[in-house]
Amino acid sequence: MHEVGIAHELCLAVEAAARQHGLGRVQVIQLVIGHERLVCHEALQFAFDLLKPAPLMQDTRLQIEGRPGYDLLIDQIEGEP
Amino acid sequence: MRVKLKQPVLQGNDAAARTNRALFERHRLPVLNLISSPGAGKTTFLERWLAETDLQVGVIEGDLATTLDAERIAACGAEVVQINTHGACHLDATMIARALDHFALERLDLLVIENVGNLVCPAEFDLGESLRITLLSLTEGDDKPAKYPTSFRWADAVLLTKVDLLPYLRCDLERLSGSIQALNPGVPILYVAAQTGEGMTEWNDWLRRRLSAEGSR
Repeated sequence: MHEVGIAHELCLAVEAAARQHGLGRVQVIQLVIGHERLVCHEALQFAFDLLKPAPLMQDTRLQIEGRPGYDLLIDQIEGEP
Repeated sequence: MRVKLKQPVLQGNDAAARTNRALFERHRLPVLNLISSPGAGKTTFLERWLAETDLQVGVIEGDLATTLDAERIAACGAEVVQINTHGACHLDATMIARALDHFALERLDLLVIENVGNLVCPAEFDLGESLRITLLSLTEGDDKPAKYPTSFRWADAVLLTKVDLLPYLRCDLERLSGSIQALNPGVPILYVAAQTGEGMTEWNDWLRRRLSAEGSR
């Protein structure tokens, strides 16, 4: 259930990054999540869909790469001005 | 347009935690973050300890609802602030920053944060604490560290509580301590019973040693 907290922080971080880089819409967020973080990807997706702010992330897709270890990173975002 | 970020998802919380930590260090104030599932005995342990310690302790209580725990801690004579998260399953660094406004930090020897009862989520969120203490009561079962590893993996010490109930439980202490050590090799494991006072001397001794080591860094 920590996925809600993580999704909330994710939205804040992407909002800040979008502002900094002049993006008005974010289409894709690529995440790297280490298996040891015990994050349920479906639950994170569900929480993100509930929390994502419109219009900036209205149509944003999460692409999650799971890998060994403790990473919990935003690898990159794709968007348009 | 692609923007490479390679940044931690929790960087907002991490930044707030760094601000908290800098404030604590300015005041030379050690801070404990107590993490456990609900009912492990965090508040009861605190009550017992507050009655015995001569340290000036401030307490931040985190719960979804009610001021029940803060009332119990206030009755021990400690300064206390209750945070109600209204559904959120953990405390984050920003909540702690707001609560700090209610303390005169220069008057405290130690600040204790009793996190929301939850063995999963609080482990992800740095609050700026100096030491993270995970509590597990023997009544929860010796399989719990393996099933809920994150809170044990990043603990600076593990307190096993309600050890006075051991004769009534099917709890294998060797299996329990072995599974904690497998997750976090070398982590100190302390055995306490707030009702009888068992293990409180060892806890006090460990904490004083650890804080003195932290302070001399």
